[in-house]
Amino acid sequence: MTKHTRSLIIIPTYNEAENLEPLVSAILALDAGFEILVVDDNSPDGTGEIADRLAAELPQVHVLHRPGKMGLGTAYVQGFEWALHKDYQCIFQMDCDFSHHPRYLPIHLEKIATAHAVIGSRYVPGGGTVNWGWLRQLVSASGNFFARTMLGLHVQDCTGGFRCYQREVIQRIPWDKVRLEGYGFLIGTIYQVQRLGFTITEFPIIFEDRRTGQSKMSFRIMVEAFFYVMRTAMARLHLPSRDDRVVNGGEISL
Amino acid sequence: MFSMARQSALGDYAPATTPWLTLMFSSSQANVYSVKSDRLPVAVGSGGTP
Repeated sequence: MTKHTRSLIIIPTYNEAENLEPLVSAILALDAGFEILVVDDNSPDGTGEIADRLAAELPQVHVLHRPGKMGLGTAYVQGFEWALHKDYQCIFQMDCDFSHHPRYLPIHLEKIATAHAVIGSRYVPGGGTVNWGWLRQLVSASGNFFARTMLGLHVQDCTGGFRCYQREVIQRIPWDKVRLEGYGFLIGTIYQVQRLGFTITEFPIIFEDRRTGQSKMSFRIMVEAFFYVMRTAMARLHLPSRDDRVVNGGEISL
Repeated sequence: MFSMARQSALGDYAPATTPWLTLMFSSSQANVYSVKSDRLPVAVGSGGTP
């Protein structure tokens, strides 16, 4: 994939007024041909207005306004829908808070040339987190282990949201089976990618805790993810996946 | 004005299977779109990375 490949980065926002403009500037400074779709859930802090201004000034920036806080999952699906309609070939997802640093985007672009999906991973050698307390590390590691084990996932980081997909992947995922609001959506999406037999590459990233603003994590979405994994694991007992293949570091490992 | 039907983008995954999503976008200015919605599913928590 090159600078000339049509690539869209979908960034869901809710109260990210302090982060949005610096992030957009950092992405465009890469001069790698990226375009950006901000999906804003009517943020009370004026994020939507900032996005509108950026879209007016920069032709690479697009904005999709939603009437209220509708959740991460639907934000991505509607962003995907928009991306497909606009004929983008590579579709990225990333957080707005700089926990997914733009410096990794060119690596994504390089890796997506040899895989259907690419994950910026905290849990492959060389990856990790900074500024996380032991409790958050424990919750993250155990949640990943639980989801990977129960669903038979081959990827190491199934709850991370720094990803890139080829358009074909987005077209083929049965989105009605991934009706989740929170990070369970990320687990569900990668489960469907693997189940459809697409290749997945992970490369290491250092996940930095958000610079400013508040996390949207809640107990409710943890419960949602838990029950999604349990329900899907039970269904899997009757419908095992086929043709599961994962590419790690450019080499097919399974 | 720009608008689209969901089915054109997501193929088989038409409104009947994803009634939780709205189907139409509209554009009020260049590069700015709005999701048309007559229902608003509210998410209490919606993100965060564990």
